[in-house]
Amino acid sequence: MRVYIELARRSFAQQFAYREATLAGLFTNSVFGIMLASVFLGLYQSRSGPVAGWSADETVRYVWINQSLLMVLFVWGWWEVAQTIRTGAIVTDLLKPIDYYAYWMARDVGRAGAQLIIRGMPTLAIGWVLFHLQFPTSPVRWVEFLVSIFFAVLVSFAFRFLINLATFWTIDYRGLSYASIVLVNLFSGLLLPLTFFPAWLLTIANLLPFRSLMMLPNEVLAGHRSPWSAYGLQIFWVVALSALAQLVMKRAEKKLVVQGG
Amino acid sequence: MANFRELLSELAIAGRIARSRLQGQMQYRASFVLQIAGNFIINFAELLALIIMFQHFHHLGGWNIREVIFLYGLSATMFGLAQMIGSGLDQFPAQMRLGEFDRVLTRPLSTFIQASVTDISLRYFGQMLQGLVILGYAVFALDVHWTAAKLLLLFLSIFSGVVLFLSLFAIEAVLCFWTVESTEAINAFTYGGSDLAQYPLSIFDRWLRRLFLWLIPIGFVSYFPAVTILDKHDPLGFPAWTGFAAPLAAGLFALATGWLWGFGVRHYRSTGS
Repeated sequence: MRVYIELARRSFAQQFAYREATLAGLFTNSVFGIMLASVFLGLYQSRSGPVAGWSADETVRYVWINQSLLMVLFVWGWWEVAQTIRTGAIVTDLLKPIDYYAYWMARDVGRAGAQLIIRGMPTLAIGWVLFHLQFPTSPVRWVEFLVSIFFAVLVSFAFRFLINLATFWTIDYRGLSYASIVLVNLFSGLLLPLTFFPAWLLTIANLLPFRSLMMLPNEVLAGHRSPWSAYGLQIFWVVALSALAQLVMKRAEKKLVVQGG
Repeated sequence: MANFRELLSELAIAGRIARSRLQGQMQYRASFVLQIAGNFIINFAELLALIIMFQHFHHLGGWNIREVIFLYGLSATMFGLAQMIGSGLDQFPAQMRLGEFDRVLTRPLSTFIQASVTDISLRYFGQMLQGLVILGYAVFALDVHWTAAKLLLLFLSIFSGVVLFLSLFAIEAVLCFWTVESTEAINAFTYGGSDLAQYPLSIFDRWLRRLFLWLIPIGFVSYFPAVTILDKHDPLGFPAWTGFAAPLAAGLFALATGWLWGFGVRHYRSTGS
C-alpha cells in the first residue's frame, strides 16, 4: 500500500511544476466559464422559472463547476497507457512487482488532487467573483461534494484506462478518442444538466457510466440528490469498469506482441 | 506582379505536398473513416445539446433556434476549414523542440506554408462538412431572402473566418519561439472563439465583446455578416454595412500575425541537437 501512496504523492507534486501552463489553463477555463454562463443567463431571460429543477443561478454555478472539474477529471486526451503499449515500454512496466492497474490509478489520484487545488479551486473562485455564485453554507455538503468528486475521478480513470487498452488491438487510437469525447461531452453533463434531456435520451444517459463524472457531483452540491445514491452509482461503475479493465488486460497480455527491440 | 506569381507557385507546391499527405492518410482506411465520422459526430453532440436547450428556452437574445443554428453552421464551417488547412501548425512545437525547423529554414519555400502543410488532416474534413450541412439546413429552414450582396457576404464571412482562425493557429505556433507552456491560453481564442461565434455577440458582457471584436475580430467575421444576411436587429448599434468589414478585420489581423511570424522566425535559435 505504501508504494501506491508514494506514487500518488509524487504524481501530486509533479503537477505543481508547470506554473505557466496552469495560469494559461486558468485563463482558458475562465473565458469558457464566462462565455457559457452568459449563454445560459441569456437563455433564462426568455422564460421564467427553473428548468427541470435548475434555476438560472444554479445553472450558472453548474457551468463553473464543470469548468473547474475539467482538468481534475481529465476527461479528454489521456493516452499515457496507450503510448506505453505503442512504444513497447509496457513490457518493463508489467515486469515491475506492483499491480499495473493500481500503479496508474494511484498516479491519477495524485494528479487529480493537485489539479483540484491548482485548477479547480481557482477557476471556481473566479466564477464566484465574476458571477456572484451562491454556494451552500453547510460544511457537510462540501464534504459530500468532495467525496463524490473523488469517486468521479476513479470512474474517469477506469474509463480512460479501459479505452487506452484498445491500443493492444489497434495502433491508431484517434478514432476511438473522438468517439469517447462525444460520449463524455454529451452524457457526462458537461454541456448541460442531464435532466434537461428529453425522457428517451435521459434514459440512455442514466444507463451509462458518464453521468458519474460531472452530473452526480453537481447534483450532490446542489442538493438535488442524496449523496449516498450518488456514491452508490459511482462505486458501481468504478467496480464494473475496473473489473472489465482487468479482464481485458488478461486477454491482452496473452496476445502481447512487442514491436522492435 | 512577380510577388503574386511567386505566391501562386508556392501555393501550387503546398497543394502538391498536401496531396501526398492525404494519400498517406488514406493508407489506414479504417482509422481514417473513423476519424472523419468521429469529427462529424463530435459537433453533432454539441448541436444536439443546443437543440435540447431550445426545448426549454424560447430565444437567445432575440435569436430563435434556426438563427442560432445558422451561426453554429457558419462557425463550424470556417473553423473546420481552417483546422483542415492549418493542422500542421499543431506539430510546430514538436518540430521546434527536435530542431527540425532548421531543415524548414533551408528550403526555398515560405516557412509558414511549410509549417501548415506538414500535416493536412482530412479528419477535419468531417467537421467542415458537418458545418456546411448544418448551415445548409439553417438557410433552407430560415427562408432567407437572398440577394447577390448577401450571397457575397456569406462567402466573405467564411473566407475571412478561415483567414482569422488560421492566423490564430499561426500565433499559437509562433508563441513557442518564446514559450512552450502557455500556448494553452490561445485555446480560449481558437476553440473559445469558434464557440463564441455560435451565439449572438450581443448577449455577452461588454468586455468579452470588446475582446472578441477589437483584439480578436471574431465578431466581425461571423456575427455582423449573420445580422445582415438574416435581417436581424443589432442592439449594439453598429451600421448595417459592418458585415462587409469582415475581410478588412481578418486581413488586418492576418497582417499583424504575418509580422509576428516573421519576427519569431528571425529570432529563432536552433536547439542545436
